[in-house]
Amino acid sequence: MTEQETRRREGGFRNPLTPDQLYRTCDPTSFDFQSTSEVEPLDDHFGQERAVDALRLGLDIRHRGYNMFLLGSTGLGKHELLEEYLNAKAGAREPPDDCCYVNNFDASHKPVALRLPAGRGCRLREDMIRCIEDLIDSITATFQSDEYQARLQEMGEEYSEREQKAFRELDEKARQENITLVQTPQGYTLAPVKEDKILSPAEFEDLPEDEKKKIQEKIDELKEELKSIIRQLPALVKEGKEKLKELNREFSQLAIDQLFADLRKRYEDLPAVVEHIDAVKADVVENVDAFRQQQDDRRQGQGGKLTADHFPQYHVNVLVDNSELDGAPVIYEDNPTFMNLVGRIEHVAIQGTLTTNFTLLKPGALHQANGGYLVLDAVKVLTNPFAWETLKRTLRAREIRIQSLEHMYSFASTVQLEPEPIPLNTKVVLTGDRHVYYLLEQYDPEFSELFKIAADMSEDVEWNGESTATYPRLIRTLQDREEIRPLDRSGVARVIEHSARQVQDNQKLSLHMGRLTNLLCESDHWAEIRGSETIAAEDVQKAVDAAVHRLDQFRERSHESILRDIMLVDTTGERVAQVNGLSVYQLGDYSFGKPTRITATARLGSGRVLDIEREVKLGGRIHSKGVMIISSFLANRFARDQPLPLSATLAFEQSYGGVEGDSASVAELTALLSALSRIPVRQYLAVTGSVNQHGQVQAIGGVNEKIEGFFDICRARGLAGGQGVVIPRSNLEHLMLRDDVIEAVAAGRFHVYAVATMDEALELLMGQPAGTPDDKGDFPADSINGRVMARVRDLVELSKKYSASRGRPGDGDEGDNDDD
Amino acid sequence: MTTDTRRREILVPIDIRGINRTALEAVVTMAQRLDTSLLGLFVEDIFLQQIAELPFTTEVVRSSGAERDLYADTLKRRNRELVYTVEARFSEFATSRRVRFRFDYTSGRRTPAALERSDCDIFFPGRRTPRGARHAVQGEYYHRVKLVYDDSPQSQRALEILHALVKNGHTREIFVIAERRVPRTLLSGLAESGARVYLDNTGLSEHNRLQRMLGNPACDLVLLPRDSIASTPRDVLESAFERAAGSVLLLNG
Repeated sequence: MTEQETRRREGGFRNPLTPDQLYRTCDPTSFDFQSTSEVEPLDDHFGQERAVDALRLGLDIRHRGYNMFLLGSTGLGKHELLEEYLNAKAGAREPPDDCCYVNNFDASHKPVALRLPAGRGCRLREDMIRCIEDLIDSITATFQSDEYQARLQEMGEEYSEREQKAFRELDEKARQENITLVQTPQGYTLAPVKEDKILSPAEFEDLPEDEKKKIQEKIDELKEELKSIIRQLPALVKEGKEKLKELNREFSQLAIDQLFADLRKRYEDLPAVVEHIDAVKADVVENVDAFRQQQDDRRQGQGGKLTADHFPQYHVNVLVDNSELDGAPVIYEDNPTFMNLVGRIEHVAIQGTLTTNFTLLKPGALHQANGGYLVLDAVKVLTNPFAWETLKRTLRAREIRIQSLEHMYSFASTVQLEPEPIPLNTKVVLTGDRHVYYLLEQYDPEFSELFKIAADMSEDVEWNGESTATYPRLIRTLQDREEIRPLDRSGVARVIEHSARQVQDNQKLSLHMGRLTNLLCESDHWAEIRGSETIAAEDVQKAVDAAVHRLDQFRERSHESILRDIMLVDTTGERVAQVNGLSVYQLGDYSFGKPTRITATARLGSGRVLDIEREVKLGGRIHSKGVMIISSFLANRFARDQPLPLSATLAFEQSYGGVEGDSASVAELTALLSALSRIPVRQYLAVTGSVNQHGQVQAIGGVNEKIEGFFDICRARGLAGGQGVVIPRSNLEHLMLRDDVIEAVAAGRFHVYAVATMDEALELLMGQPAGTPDDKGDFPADSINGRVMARVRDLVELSKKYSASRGRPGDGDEGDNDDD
Repeated sequence: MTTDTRRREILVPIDIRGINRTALEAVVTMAQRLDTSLLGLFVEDIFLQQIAELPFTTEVVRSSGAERDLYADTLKRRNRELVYTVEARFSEFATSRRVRFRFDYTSGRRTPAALERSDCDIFFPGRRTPRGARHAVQGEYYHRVKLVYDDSPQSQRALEILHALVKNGHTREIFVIAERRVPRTLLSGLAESGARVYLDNTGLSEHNRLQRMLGNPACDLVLLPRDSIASTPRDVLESAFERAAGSVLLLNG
C-alpha cells in the first residue's frame, strides 16, 4: 500500500486546511528594530550570488569572446547590479587612450587613427590649432620680407628675360633677312620689311617672283622657329613655377621649422603623433602657395581674420576624449542603432553636393566604451536593423570600422571615407530576458562564441531566517535610493508577505526590484496621506489593494457575468457530469481566477475521449495532452484487459477564447467519471489540479488566484458553509491567500482541501468512497470506481451486441447509445 | 606738395589688343581720385592691317603654338567690336564714378600714337593680366606701384598721385627707384600712410632704369616721369611698354 493510499484510507484529505496552512505570516516582533532607518543598507546584491560570481568572472577574464549576457526579467535590477560591479571594476583601471582621427595626406579618403594617452588628444588639437595660427602670421611675415621679395624679383627677371630673349633673338635673326616679328592680338606674325618699313601688299606684289618666293620661304622657315619657341614656353613656365615652388619651400622651411620643432618635441614620446606632425609640416611646405592664396582671399574681404578654421586639413578630430575619466568608461547605450554603435560619417552640402572629410567622423558607443565596458539591451540590438550583425562583426574582428550603410550597400554615390579601423578592447554586456538568451543560443551559432559568460539573475530567494533578516536591509537600500519614509516592523513584515505572494510561493521571496520599489513608493504615498512618519502594514496593504483595484475591472466584469447567471456556474447543489473547474487569466502583471463549468458526456464508442476545445482549435497542446492522459487513465483503470468501448466528450462551457494548460484535468476526469458512474458532483466545490496516468494529482500554477476567484463568487452569492476548493497537495507551499479568504476559512464558512490522488478528489467532490481495488482489480460495487467499472462492463456488452447485429465487432463509434 | 594734379586729362591709348576690365575700372577710379578727365584714344593698327593684307600672312597663336590665317577683314571687324565694347565699358565705369570722358580715334601703333601727345598724362594699360586683379576686389587696384623719383616736378606730381592712391586704399606696396638721394620726409610720409615702401637707390642708367621699372617684380602700376626717359629712343620705349607686365602712367608736362 502506498503512502498516499494509506493517507486516503485514513481520510486526512477530508479535513480542510487550517488558516495557518493558507498563509505564511511574517512576525513583526521577530525583528530587532522599530523601523528600517535603524538597519544598515545592503552592501551586496541580495540573492544574486550566482549572477555576481558570473559577472566577476566575466569582468576578470581578458581573453577573446568573454563578453557577457545578463539574464533576468525586466525590473529585476539588472542595471543596478551592473552599475555597481562595472563602476567598481572600471574605477580600478586606468582611463583608456583618447582616440583621434587626422588627415591622411597621401590618401585623404582614408583618415588615420591616432591614439594618445587620456587628455592628450584635446591637447594635440589645441596645439595644432595654435601652431596653424602661428603659421599664418609667420608665413605672412616671411613672404613679405625684403629678402624674399628680392629673390622673387631676381627669379622673375631671369625667366622673363629668357622668354623675351628667345623672341628678341628670333626678331634679330628675321631682320637680317629683312623680315620682322610683329605681335598680333593673340600671337605673333612675320612680315617682310624694307628699310625698316613693312612692305605694303602693293610693294610686295611689285617684287620679282623669285624674290617673293624667297621671302615666303624665309617667312615659313622663321615661322617654324617661332612655333618652336612658343611650344617651349609652357616648359619654361613650368620650370619657373618649379623654381618658385622651390623658393617658397625654402622660405616656408624658415618660417615653420621652429614651430614644428616645438610641437614635435612635445609629442616625442608618441611616434605616431610625431609622424603625423611631420606629415603636416611636409604638407604645409608643399602647399604654402595655397596657404598664401587663402590669406590673400581673406584679405580681399571674404570674411574676417584668417584663422586655423580655414585649414581643416590640419585639424585633429578628437573622436573620444577621456580626459574627464577617472577610470575605464562604462557606457550604457539605450538606442543601439547601427550608427550609434559604430559611429557615423556626416556630410555637408556644398553647392548642392554632399561632401565629407575626416572632421565629420562621429564616434559610436563602441568608440566611447573602448578600453572599458558597454552595456546594451539585447532586444534593442536585435530589433535595430544591422545592429546585431555589426556588433558581432566588430567583436569578431576586434576593431571598430566606421562605415556608412549607404556605402556598405552601394546606395550612395557621394564622396565616402574609409577611416582606419580602431582596435577594439571593450567588454560588451548584453542584458535581456531568459528566452532571448536561449533563442540566441539556439539560433545564432556565433552568439556562444562571442558571449561566453551568462550571468543568470535569480527571480526569488529562499524565505528563511536569514532572508527574513536581510530583506529589511534591502528595503532600507531602496528607501535611501528612492528617498521614501522608513518602514516600521509591521510594514516590513507585510512587504515580505506580499513578496512571497508575488512569487506564488510561501517558501520564497521575490527579488524583483522594480515591483518592490513600486510597492514601497506607493506605500510611502499612502503613509504621507495618513500623515505618518513611517510606513506601516496598513499603508502597504492600501498600496497592494490600490494596485489590484487599478487593474481589476476585467475581473469584476467577468465575475459579474457569473453572478448574473450569464456565465453558468453553480455554487450549490449537485449535478451529474458537471464540475466547477478553475482558470486563471493573466493580464500583464495582474492575474485573477474564476470558475468555469466543465461538462462531460459518455456513450458507446471506440474508446476515444473527444476534447471539444481541441476539435475547434481553442485548446492548446498542453491541454490536449491532459485530455489524452485522461483517456489513458480510464483505459488503465477500467479496461486493462479489454477494449474500452467508450466515446466521451469534454467541454469548457461558455469558453470562447483559447484554453491552455492541464490544470483542469482533475476537473475534466471528475466530470467524465460522474458521467459514467451517474454520481452527481458537488457544485459548491471547485477543483483544480492536473492528473497523471496513475491518478496522482499534480501541482498547478495560480493556485491563490483560483481559490480567491471561486471564493469571490461564493461570497457574493452568500457563503453557505460547505463551499470550498480542492487543490493539489503539492500546491500547499504556494498558498498565500488573501486575508478575507483566511477569515472565512477560520470561521468555517469556506474550505480549502488538499488532495494527492484522483480518488481523494473524487471522494471530496462526489461525497462517496472512491473504492479500493481487490486482488483482481475489481472495485467495490457501491464505490465510485466500482460504479464506473460496472458501466464500462455494460458498454462492453452493448458493444458486443451491437457488433453482432452489424457484423463488425468493436465499431460502435457512430452508435446512438447516448448515455447522458 | 604744391604741384597741381587737378584738371588734367589722362589719355588711355587702346589698340586691337584692347584693355581688360580691371585695368579700365582701375584707371577710371584713379581719374576719380585725382579729379581728372579721361580721353580714350582708339588706335587702329594700320601696320598690322597692312601685314594681314599680304597674301601669305598667318598668325602663330601664343597660347598653343598653332598657326592660323590672319585676314584683314577679320582684324577690321575685331577692331569695330572692340571699339564698341570698350566704349560701353568706359561709359559704364566713368558715368557711375562721375568722371568726364571722351573718345578720339587715330591710326598707327599704340605707343607712338600716344607719345605724340604731350598735353596730358598717358596711361598705357598692361598687356598681361594685372597681378592685382585679386586685390582689385578689395579696391586695391594698384596694390604694388613702382615710382621713379628724380626730384623733378613730374616726379613730385607722381608722388602726389601715389599719396592719393595710398590714402584711398588702392596701393599697399611701393617700390621707389631713385636716381639720387630720396628725402627722408618723402619716405616716412608714404610709410605713415600705411604702405610698405621699398627703396632702390642704385644709380642705374636710363636704359637699365627703364628695364627695372617695367621688369620684375611685376607691379600693377608704374609712375614714370616723361623727363626721366627723355633720351630713350621711341622704338625702345615702344618695346618696353609692350612688354610691361602692369600698366604705366607716363607723366607729361
